[in-house]
Amino acid sequence: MLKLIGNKKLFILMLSLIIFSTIMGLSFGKYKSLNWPEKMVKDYVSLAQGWINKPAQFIAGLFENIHSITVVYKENQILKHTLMQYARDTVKLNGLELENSRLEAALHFTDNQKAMNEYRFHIARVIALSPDPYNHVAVINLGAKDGIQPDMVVMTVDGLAGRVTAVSEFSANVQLITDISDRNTNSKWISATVKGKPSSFGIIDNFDAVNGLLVMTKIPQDDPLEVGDTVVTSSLGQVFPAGVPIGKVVSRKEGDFGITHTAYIKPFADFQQLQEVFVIEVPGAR
Amino acid sequence: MHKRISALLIVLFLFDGTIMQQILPSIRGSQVYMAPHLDLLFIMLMAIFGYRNSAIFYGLGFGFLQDLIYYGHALGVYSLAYGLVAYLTGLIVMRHVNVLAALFIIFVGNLSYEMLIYSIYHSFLKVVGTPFSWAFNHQMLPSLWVNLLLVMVFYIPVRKFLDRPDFERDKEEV
Repeated sequence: MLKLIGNKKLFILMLSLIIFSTIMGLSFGKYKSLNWPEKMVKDYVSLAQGWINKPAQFIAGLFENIHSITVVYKENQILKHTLMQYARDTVKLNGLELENSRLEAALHFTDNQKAMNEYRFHIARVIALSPDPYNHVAVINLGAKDGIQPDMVVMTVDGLAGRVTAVSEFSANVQLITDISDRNTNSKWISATVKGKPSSFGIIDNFDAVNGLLVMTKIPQDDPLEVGDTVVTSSLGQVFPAGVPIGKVVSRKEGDFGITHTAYIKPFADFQQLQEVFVIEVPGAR
Repeated sequence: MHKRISALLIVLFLFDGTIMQQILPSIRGSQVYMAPHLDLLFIMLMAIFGYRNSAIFYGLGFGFLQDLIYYGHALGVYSLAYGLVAYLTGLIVMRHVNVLAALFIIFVGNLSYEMLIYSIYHSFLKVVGTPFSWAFNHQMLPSLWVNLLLVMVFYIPVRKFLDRPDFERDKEEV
């Protein structure tokens, strides 16, 4: 039979192409929960990645420190000014908090709803970033034993960074928001609003890789969103908790069909230098 | 021999995800991305220096490891790409090559790897929307230059490592 086919190597090549296309097609589009061999491999590799990454981040941090000495003085001035503003705001905040707790008690909120607004932040270190431009995945060093579950939201100090997808015992994969697209069944769109204008509404469903901007669509035509506004998550989609800052509006224009508007958002988080992130746990929501 | 090569490849794989990401400069303001793949470079060097059949198996194994650890959209993309590129790189080599020819072969191999990955993600799985010209200028070419630089730095040590008399070469069948 091999004489008929002619070249054994060609046959093997064809067979392997068929097998790989099948594997790719079968495993595409489903974020499955990991089975135990996968978890074992991921845990061993994440241990080693954590050891190697610590000195590398330390060295990268040294260079950052040398650069930042030159701006420390200016920063100091700005920080003193901001501190004075914070002191004034704290006084106002205390008064508002007292009033809020009185009103809440008066309305008999259930315990669940009260817990919904108290987010617990787990700080995690990014131990690996995927080394190619198509899989936007970061591996963090918290896992199932720290209480991380899939679909928890991850943010950096600056803003929203991603969402936990696969969890093993000691590490977890985080899908960054640069992977959001309307062609991909694995990404969850973010329902967003504008900080300070709670009547604004839009859905972030795409990432424009050419310009590095998030695309927010389905904005109503009379929406108060403007260029320069800060976009935060609203909890309307039930996946992303409310109030997490996403980015700044860069432009706004007519949408594809003329019915709604589309805005381009520059994300606050810096995806190429991810080092420390916070995993947000919403107690009582799951 | 396989133990040493596997250990070295595991270390290179870990470097890809951790140290190279911190070292490679991120150019703020543009979306240029340089993707290092030190393990693929080592596997291609193995294929050039006569270990062609083992290179295919290492390619499949470490491609699958990369699929597993950084599972983004589908399994099997990197195993196919690593295995195929390792095999093709081994096929080009007829007899012993000198430095420039080896570097050129690695350049061609990297180019075909980048184009293969892009075409799988763009045309087969349809998860990447950037046009080919943009991806070529901003992602493939920078990755090619970075990987070429890395190979030039590591070529002589790797050749000394792989030229040991106690490593069995694979018999060549043309």
